[in-house]
Amino acid sequence: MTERAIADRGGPAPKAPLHVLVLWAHPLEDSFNARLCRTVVDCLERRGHTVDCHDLYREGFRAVMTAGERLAYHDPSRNRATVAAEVERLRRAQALVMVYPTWNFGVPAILKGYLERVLIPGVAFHMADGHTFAGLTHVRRLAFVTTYGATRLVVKGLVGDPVRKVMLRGLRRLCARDADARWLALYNMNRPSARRCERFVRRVESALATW
Amino acid sequence: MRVLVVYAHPVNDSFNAAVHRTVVDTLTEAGHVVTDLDLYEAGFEPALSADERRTYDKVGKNTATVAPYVAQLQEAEGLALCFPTWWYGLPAILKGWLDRVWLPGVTFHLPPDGGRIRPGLTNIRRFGVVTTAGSPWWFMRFYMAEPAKRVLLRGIRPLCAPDAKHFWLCHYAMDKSTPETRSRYLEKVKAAFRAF
Repeated sequence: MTERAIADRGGPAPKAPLHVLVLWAHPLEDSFNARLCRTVVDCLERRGHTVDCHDLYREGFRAVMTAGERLAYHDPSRNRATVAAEVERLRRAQALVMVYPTWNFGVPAILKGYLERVLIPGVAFHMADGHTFAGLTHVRRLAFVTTYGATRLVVKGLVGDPVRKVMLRGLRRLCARDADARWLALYNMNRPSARRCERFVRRVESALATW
Repeated sequence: MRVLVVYAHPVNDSFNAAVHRTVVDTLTEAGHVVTDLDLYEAGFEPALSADERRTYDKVGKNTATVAPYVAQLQEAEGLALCFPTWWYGLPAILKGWLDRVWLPGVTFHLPPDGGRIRPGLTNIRRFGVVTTAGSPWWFMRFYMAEPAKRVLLRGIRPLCAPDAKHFWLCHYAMDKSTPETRSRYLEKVKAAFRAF
């Protein structure tokens, strides 16, 4: 039965299983962030997706763009030489999930380095005549699971949540045109509470249960 | 004034290198004492390590691996950041400098009984940012809402002296820049740091 036919009968259309790349950026395997990452991977696998969890810390991803990489940056025939494996994994992804702690109102340096070194011209976008064209059109879904030290009021009201704009605008415009994006954030981790952490894990589970 | 200049670009003959030289030379000519931190040259490792994450909240112990960088911040009366905007933000090496050096007990204090964060770098009375961006200004301002500017001026600057003077200079649309736009920008940088 087609998805449309099922939807017509009133039930939600089942979504086809996807290949999901999970980018994880936290140095500690016994952290709350590690638990969030395991929750994400378990949920996705239970849903029937195949998951490639790229653990940036344990896999020793180098954050710093070198001089050679910078000089080759705009040349798609040379710029992926040092990140070919990472680019391959990214190109297989039909959905992308990032799990990370927000530090200093941004992604951890190691994940920032991933954006800079892997999401490069010819991979994440194409440049022609001064215009930028989407290169990640194979990515149909995006999800972000993150924690903030500051309160929601400070993050949103005072600082304006810049990293959210980078992801939901800057990154999403490079993905499939109608890419679905979920933003799951837990605030005020400078003063953590076990109850709020548990509630957040359940929120992540329920958000991804039907994803 | 003692000014800490933090610079992050890997290529020695890049436009950012020229901006960096302009910043350091102008400050020196104006009589300031400059500490020049070139993160690439210093081989700075930006990823906060597992051990550093474990001691992050332990004031007094958390500075062990980055003591010289912490001292630079604490001795500074002015701070100037010079970097290219990559992916709408600070290059990873500079983001890592924030992650690893801007520590609790150094750059901010978190009162144990609750309450607001208190600034820890009240020694810093001037805060200047000079950067470049590939995107045009209207795209950065109206669509992206200036992520790097918000992080630095709204998130980071409040940890300096409450009345710290600050400015933000950006050469937008670098992809379409010409020798004229670049030299005009260098003049702007000079003027800003002459009056730092």
